[in-house]
Amino acid sequence: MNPLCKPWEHATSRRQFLGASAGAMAFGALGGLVSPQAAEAMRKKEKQVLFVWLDGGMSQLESWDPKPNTEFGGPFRTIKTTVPGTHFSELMPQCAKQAHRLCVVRNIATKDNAHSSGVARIQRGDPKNRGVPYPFFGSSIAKLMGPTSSKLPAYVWVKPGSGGFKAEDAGFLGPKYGSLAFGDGKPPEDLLRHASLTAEEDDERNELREVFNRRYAAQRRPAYTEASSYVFDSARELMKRADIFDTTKLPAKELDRYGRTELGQHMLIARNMLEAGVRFVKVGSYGWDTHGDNFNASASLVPKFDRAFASIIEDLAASGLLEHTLVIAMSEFGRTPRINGHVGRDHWPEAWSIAMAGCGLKAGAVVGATNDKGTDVKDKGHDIGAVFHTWFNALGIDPKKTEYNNNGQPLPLAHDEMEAIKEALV
Amino acid sequence: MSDAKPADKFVPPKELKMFPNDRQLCIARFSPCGNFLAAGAMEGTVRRWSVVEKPKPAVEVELPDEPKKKPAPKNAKTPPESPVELVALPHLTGFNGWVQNIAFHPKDKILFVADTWGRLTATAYEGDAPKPRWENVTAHDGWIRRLAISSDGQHLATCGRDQFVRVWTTAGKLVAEHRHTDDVFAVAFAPEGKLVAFGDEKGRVKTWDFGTKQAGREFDASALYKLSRLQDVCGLRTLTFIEGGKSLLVGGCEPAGGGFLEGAPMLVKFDTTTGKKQTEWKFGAAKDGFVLDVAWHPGGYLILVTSGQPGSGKIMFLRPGEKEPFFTHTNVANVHSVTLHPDGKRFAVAAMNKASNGNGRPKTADGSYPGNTSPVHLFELGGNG
Amino acid sequence: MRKSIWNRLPLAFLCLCVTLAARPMAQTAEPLHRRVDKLIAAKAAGKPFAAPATDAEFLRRAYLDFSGVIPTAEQARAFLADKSPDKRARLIEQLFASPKYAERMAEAFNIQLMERNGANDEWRNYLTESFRANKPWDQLAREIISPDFKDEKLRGAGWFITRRLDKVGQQDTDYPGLTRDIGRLFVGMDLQCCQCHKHLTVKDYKQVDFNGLFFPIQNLKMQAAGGDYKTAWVQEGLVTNKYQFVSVLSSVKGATGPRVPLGVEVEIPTATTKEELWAVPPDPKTRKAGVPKFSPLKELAVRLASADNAPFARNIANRAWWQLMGRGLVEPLDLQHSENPASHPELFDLLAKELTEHKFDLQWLLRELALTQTYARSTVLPTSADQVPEPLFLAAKERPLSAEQLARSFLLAVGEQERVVNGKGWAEGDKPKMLKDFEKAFLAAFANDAKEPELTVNPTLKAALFLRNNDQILWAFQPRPGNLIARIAALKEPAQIADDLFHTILSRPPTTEETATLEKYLAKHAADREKALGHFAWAMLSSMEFFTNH
Repeated sequence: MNPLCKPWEHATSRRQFLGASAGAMAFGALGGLVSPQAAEAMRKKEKQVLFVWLDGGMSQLESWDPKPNTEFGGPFRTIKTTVPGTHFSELMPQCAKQAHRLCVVRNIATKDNAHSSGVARIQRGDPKNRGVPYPFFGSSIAKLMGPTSSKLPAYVWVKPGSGGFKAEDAGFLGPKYGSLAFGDGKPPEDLLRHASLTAEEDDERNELREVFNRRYAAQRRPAYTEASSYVFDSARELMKRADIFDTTKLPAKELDRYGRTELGQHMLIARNMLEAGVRFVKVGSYGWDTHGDNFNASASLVPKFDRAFASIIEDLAASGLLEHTLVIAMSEFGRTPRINGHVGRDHWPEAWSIAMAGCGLKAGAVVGATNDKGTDVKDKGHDIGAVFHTWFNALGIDPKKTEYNNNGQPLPLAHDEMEAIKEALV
Repeated sequence: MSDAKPADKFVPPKELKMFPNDRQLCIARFSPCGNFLAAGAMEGTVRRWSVVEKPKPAVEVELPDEPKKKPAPKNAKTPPESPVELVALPHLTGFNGWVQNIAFHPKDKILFVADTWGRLTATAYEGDAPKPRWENVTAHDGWIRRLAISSDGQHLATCGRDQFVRVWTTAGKLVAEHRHTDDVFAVAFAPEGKLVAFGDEKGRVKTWDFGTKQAGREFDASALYKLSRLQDVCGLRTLTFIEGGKSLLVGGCEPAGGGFLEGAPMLVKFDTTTGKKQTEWKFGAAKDGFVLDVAWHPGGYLILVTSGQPGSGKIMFLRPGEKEPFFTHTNVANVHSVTLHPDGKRFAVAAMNKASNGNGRPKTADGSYPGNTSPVHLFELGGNG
Repeated sequence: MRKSIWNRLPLAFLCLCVTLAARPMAQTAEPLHRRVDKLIAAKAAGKPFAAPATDAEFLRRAYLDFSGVIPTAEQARAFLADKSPDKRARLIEQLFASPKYAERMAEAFNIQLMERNGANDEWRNYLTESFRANKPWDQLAREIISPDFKDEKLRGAGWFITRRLDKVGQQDTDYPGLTRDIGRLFVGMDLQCCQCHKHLTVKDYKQVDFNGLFFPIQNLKMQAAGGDYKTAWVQEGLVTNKYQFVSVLSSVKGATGPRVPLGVEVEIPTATTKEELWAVPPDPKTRKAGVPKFSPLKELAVRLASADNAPFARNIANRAWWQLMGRGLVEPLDLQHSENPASHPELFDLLAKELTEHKFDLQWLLRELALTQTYARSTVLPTSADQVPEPLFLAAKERPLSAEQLARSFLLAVGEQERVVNGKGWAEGDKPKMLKDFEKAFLAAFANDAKEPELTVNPTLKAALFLRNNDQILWAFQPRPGNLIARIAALKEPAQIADDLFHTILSRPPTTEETATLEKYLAKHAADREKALGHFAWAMLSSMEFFTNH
């Protein structure tokens, strides 16, 4: 923290009006008129994040870290990947072809084996208890980086189920850093232009509103009016890009490639959002908590993830976006090596894997290892705090030098006793 | 209930003995001669036992692999000595992944073994180091989900995650194959002719003539399927022809959801000529899971075994004409397989140790991480026919 | 003994003097509102003030603040036409005398105290009745902090506690949250950081300050509705020993009885016998919990909401100031401590002292504040924004309209109040739209998330999308007998239309420029005049001038 800062000087920092639920914003980045090409070029240098959350816990043994023909190895084979010497489960044939772009950490060792606390603990980076709820990674990035110059919301969450403005991820940062959720991939209520309006009418009445606002703001503090204009502009940008959220218009060929599944469709929407310039896209998938029939479940689930995830990696690489997009795929924990009576695997934070790619990360890397039976990490594992350090570093944010300021309370971005996973970083 | 009399005389089966094991088992089968029990493990082995009848006047025989008996507590009844023992033989090895399916030839001394990496093997099974007869390492691309043998011993049928149904001679020659549209979970031979039935992930059951290669009838067992979020939850596990092939039983689970996989064990009986559903049984609650194996007793009833949430398992006796099982045994966890001894007097199940689940690392005193195991429980049938 | 900054301040001493001194002295003093303005002027040190608000701006502000809705066009015209010099003071009197005043205050305090954490009729009625009776704030605070569930008239106050102790999912009962909120809302101290260790940035806040408040709170047990009372209620457990706590940082142990933050500790009676301990002993047969004689919560409430507890008066003085001026004298409102002084320390002391002296008569204080020049300044800045530091109160600050104010003002402006609020005037075959649907939609679009204080103007994307595309909003701009669009569509001259529109929506006459804008717009859209009028009205209603209390 800046030692000269006094808490009261930050009194309203949390509850400011500015970004509102649209996320934080930088007015400076928006000023002036630039050509679409220039804007595009500018945007292309902006860092973005794709965060794929497999809720419930994907089995590391049926995906990134298979242990074939061992006591707990399960029924599946392994396959070669594009990284010599590295094998994935046979349930991931497409990711195997993208392995040279991935960075897989196989020695994640976290603490919480309950969903109720684990989901939040992991997504908040499990820092030391400071008496306040920490933000999820998406909210952190919305706060620290704001929207890109696209003006699109900083933090969008494509998920099954309900959509809308979700504040809960934001923790102490406050609801404006929450996510704009596309429930079942559909845009939130009121996003599409009302049927009774043509685009021209809509633009014209908004120009009128701006005329009134300018007149009103002439001799008043500019902040509120600017904020109002900003959110109306954001709304307009979102409305203009309604096409990227319209799943009925996704091309059949791409849908086939991503998989005609909920996750495939959502991943394709995520790709479109990243291409459109959304800073942080979270894709949520539920139902990975395979306490029963884990192997048939994995045989159904993992290939759906495999196809969708490999396709988006491939596309981001092809468009060049991968260079400045940090990609993460993970759960709240892995699954037990031990197979229970219902042929399921239970919760296992002790030794599991996270897959990443892109911005700031080594491509084709496999970091760390588990022992022969997969029951433990070899040497020292990495807790989620270290993973958060890694992500911040990959995005060019130094968590050792940057701090949150929660109404005067200085708070570290990530667990202050942990370090980034150096082997994963470029 | 047409047949009340035998039920009146029914004497419940008695557990003779539980034989511990160091691995989990997928399937257990008695050999047609009755002298062997074989089991496919959740590793690349087949476990074997000699079935040893003790002479009536009990003579102490030293048995290998016998756990040391604990002294019986005071007032506790000493369990009567089992008249039958299972004596462990060396494992058959060389398989990959899991051995989920085995089948004995009805006459020849051959055991057929299918593993989850696609290998189909025919092997002798007697003696310390029995030799394989033949093997096909790419019988399927990956997981062979079911292996069936025709009653005349001429053919094998296999199906797999590669969506193929294949029929082989028992000498290992591919006779016919059918490419299906989904993962195929079960296959069974009709008692006569060249007809097999197979059932897929989505609960579609079809018959197929491997002679003419013509598709036959379809049976709607979609009650055993559910799309739960992203997961295609397949409840279908077993296909069994009964009543001389007039009826087809589809066994498994009516899934309530994926993940935990809750659902009630289910059995559906179809008329094979009309394709009509005749009876649908649901056994128990959502925690009870699947009917995983079915054995037909010549006395006119089925022995069904179920496995659900860790700890819950049942052995049920059901007459196909009745609504409810006439006998249910629950003091056994997660029963994965049942096999009837050819003498019709005994049966064995592969079940599970208790408390097989748990999040995170269990706290063992020595810090080890033991896996779960499948004990084999041996039962003697009572005097019901 | 710990050093408390409050002990060093003269307030308690002053209060004592006032109590002892003869009343007439206070009566001869200058009215509070004049003294306020003097202190504001002194601190401004010659910096230019904003001009007084125009009559229109003042009228709209006062209506929103004390009646909860914008004035009608007729009210606006009448007020603007009134030439008498005391019309503003009379307006304030008139608004305070209206039954709407109590409703508005109940609404404002509901938002402030419950922070959008649900709605409850009994609680709302309790607040309304309390403000109608002008219940002293200390009494009201005591009734909320230590609710009497036996008294049907007071039971509603208990929702402040029971709502916060409701179990949510698998989470533990939120005793720390309730503790924090009592600290924040009644003594202006957010003690949350001190639950487990001393506050890391605020020297004054110690772990004992949180735990002394936490102690009687965690002693509460939620009792379900439908048992002893129709509503959920809380029962206190038996307390015989101090509460122990340990710092997770230093491992230092502490113990406290129920204790006012930065204040006095309640002594726990040394009762031993059953008779001494219990008012109603527990019944082992029915397993009914007993009622202890000693109520830590009540003892705490009496000491916390008291003239002797300086932070209590300061908190409400600061909040009343914030309510009308848009910014507290101490900011944030819930971080009062010695290293965070008020922008106007003398003024802050004065308000707290006077309020205490007036027996926590909140209406009196609000009226005084409404009569200040500070309240009656324009939001139009005298010089460029960087020359007008907010804490000097040189200009009035724009404030948010609550979702409820917006819904009411919107319906009034578009002329749909009769239909939607009173249910009259629906054509046959119409599916009547209900007020509750509008309120629900406005709350969803404009209210903050639960537990998030509504303190400043807060334009959001959600609200922008709502205004742009929502069915209910756009419905209101279709002409319908008696509504705004139908009414102005019947007018011929653009000047007439502009006059109606601006008085109705913005409570002021249009400027020449604005009339010209309308004229131009109508000329361009002559082919579809009604629709164009709808768009024009929409643009006015979604502009900042409508959406802020300026």
